[in-house]
Amino acid sequence: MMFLSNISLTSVVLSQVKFKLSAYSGLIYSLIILQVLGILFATGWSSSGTSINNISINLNISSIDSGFIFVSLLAISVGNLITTRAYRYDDFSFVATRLSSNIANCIVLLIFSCYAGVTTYFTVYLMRIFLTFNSTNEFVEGPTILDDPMNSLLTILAMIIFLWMFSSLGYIAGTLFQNHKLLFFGALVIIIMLLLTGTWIRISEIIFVENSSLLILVAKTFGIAILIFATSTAISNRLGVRV
Amino acid sequence: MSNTWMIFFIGLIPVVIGILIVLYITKKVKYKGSLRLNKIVIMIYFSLLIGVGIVYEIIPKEPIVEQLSEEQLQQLQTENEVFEEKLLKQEENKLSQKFLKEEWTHELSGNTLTLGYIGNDSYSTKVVVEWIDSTAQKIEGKVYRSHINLYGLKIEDKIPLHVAEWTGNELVIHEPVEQEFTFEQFSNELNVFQQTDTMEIRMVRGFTYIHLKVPKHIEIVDPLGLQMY
Repeated sequence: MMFLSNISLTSVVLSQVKFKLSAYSGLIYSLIILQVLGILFATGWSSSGTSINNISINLNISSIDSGFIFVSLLAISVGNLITTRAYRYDDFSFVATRLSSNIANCIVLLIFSCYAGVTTYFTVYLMRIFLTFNSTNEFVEGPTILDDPMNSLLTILAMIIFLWMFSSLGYIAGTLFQNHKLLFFGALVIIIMLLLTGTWIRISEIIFVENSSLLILVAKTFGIAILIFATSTAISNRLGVRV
Repeated sequence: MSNTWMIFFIGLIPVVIGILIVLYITKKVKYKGSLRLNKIVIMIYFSLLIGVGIVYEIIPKEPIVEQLSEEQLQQLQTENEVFEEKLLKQEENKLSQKFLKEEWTHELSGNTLTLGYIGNDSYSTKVVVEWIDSTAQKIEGKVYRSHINLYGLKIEDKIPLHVAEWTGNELVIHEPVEQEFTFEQFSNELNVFQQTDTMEIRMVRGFTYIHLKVPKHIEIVDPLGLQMY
């Protein structure tokens, strides 16, 4: 078949990415709300207390864990959301294939994860400023970005990759659900059953716990996310044309 | 239903609440608003957070409590153990003088010395008696306190000393008045990413030691068992 112009996969993907970034830009409001919730939950997220010689010592540790958990749930939700029919119909604005669509979604989710990862990391500073001016308690020295820039960057990178992986989980769940509802529930049951087995727990430990450094964990998580996206692409390529 | 499952389901409640909140927000918040406004919000929000980060780095932050590393805590613990060992062996010249808080002498009127403690935790104080050859009634005492460190926080100065007070022939050790300190700490790290076990309790619980030089003819009455042998 002959065409007047040949469009490469890259240019189609790029156009789709640009379009989707604009179309889904409204997600920022959900992100802001969840990050604010994360800040509210973060103050005294971890609290310890002990006493010695009749003196009670309490230590409140405020961390980004709560914000990260909320944003992780959002990542799963968004990953799932963009596989829904309403969002898939946006792809009809382009002469595109399922492959280009999937690659574009994968890139868009990565870009969202980057934005969400960096902003979630910095929300802790909003909390720091607030508590610095409002708390009567004394502060314990803690590492800042300037004290340990490499570790801070690594944490941000880890957050981005983890969010991307969570969005990939939402994405594969959505893809399965779109393919066949029974397939989705079947996969869910298998995963839950696997989670209850000792072997699966051991595998999870090897992947997520037994790492000599954070960088190795990040690399493993990145690999898992790629694998999930590839599986989703393979599954969605088997979808029939439904309008 | 077993307790494990009960705890599991109770633990799931915040997760379910979190999921419901996220689902509610993603459903309710309108995605396809004004594109221009969205872009402005994205830029402003990002700049705001980065700006806050920069501001926090440059503003003066005092007072700040220093936190010791695990190695430093280990060193303090070792110093405490060495001190106690030397004190028990009564090698006074080898005792670290940085632990010495006060010293005094007291003249007993009789041949009995009673040890008392007022407070909740009598185990925080240890009395070491060194018998000396003397016919006098004079008791020499030295109060030491070894390193105290809780959660790695350098707050030794904030923890008051026990007060040793003589009432006649009774040496009463008073526990400090009850106080409470709360400290705030920020962490840039995610606990979910921690690859090493950081649940280790980082505490060095020092003691108050009262070293008494007592003439051999004096009898010690110690109902609470404060003496250390």
